[in-house]
Amino acid sequence: MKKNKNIALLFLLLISSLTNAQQMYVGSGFGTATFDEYVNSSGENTLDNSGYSKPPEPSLEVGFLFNLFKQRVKFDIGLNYSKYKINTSFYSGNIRIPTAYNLSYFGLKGGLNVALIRWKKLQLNINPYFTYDWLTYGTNAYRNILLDIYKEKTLDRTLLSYHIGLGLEYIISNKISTYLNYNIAKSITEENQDSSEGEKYVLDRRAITIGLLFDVSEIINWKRLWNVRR
Amino acid sequence: MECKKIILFLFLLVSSFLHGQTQGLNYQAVILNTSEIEIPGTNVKENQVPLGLEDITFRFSVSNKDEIEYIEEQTVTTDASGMVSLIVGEGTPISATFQDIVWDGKLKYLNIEIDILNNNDGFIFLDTQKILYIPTPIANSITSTEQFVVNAVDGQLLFTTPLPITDIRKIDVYRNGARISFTQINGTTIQIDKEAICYEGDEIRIVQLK
Repeated sequence: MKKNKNIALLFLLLISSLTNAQQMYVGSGFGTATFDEYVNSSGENTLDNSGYSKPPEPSLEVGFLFNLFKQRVKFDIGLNYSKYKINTSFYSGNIRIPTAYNLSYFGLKGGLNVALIRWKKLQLNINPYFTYDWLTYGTNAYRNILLDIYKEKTLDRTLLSYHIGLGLEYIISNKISTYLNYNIAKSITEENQDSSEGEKYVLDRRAITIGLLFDVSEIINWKRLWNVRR
Repeated sequence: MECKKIILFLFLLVSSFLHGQTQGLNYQAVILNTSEIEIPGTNVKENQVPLGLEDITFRFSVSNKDEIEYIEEQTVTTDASGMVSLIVGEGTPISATFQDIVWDGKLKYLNIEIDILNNNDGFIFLDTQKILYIPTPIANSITSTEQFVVNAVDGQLLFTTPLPITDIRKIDVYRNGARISFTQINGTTIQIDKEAICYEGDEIRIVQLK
């Protein structure tokens, strides 16, 4: 029932976005993630991230921009899908045991896209927004043990995160632009909702995204379509 | 870290009776961490990871069916794999001395307690094993032997004997003090048991009666 509600909400969001949006964007990129400020239910940090690689994993995003103020401030709403591989370790005695997480999140985003500087066809944007992410896949491995933490429901299924992004936008034509974004995100620390009471962590994410921006109002003339129907 | 228990994963007990060595029992064990470790999304269950680089005091007691004959303590640090390797008899005696043990051929028991110093839990019982070998009477009688000690490389199986092999029963092979089985390949070469996996730096001692 809840799943159906979510789908209905997303569908409504998509329809309303299509009918009102000025711009639509599609992008892909790579992201990394780490567990920061980890505290277990005993108040100890059992993780040590130092010295481990942060392999980039693919991400996808799609969304709509709505003009709020003179094409400088836009409301940004969209969806994203990201995979992460997190290499870290925990202590057993005085040795570190390496462990690796593979996680995927599907997220709903909402925020602002603000043009800081405009220079001919180039634009520097700042992009603060929030996402609400649903875990769609998760495994944890250490030594020769592999755990499905998604099926076992032992990792938080949802995360609320704040993001800040810095992007360059290049206007190719009056209908299409391209953009490059660097984004930093931190999940909001909250007590774990899974089986470990009192456990806390911040999922710190970094991502680079490249994509295209389409002027939807130019491509799809909704008013004309509406009039033709009538 | 408190309430950390350990278990004995590998227990290897052999007599060590080579000429010129301290009398004692070679003891090896892998210490595993049985306390749960919380990490995001899961708890690392007990006995799944070694307790590495931890200072542990072992208390060994040798007893017969009636009484304790000897007690000693030794403090060692586990290696990165949680392994300890020590000789019972070389520790600090708490009661009697190792030489006082009467090896009369009757069954004895080795009782092992451990104290993980970081835990401040004191000694906890670990295990009791039967002592299956009688070391000292033989030790003093061996005077005419040749021995060859080599540091093995990873996966090494073949070793050269100190003397030509005339009778395979006159040869004993030890890895890090623990006796291991072997087969004869030719007149001067033996192959150790494939299950006795050699790692870099393992001490292989070949003792051969003349």
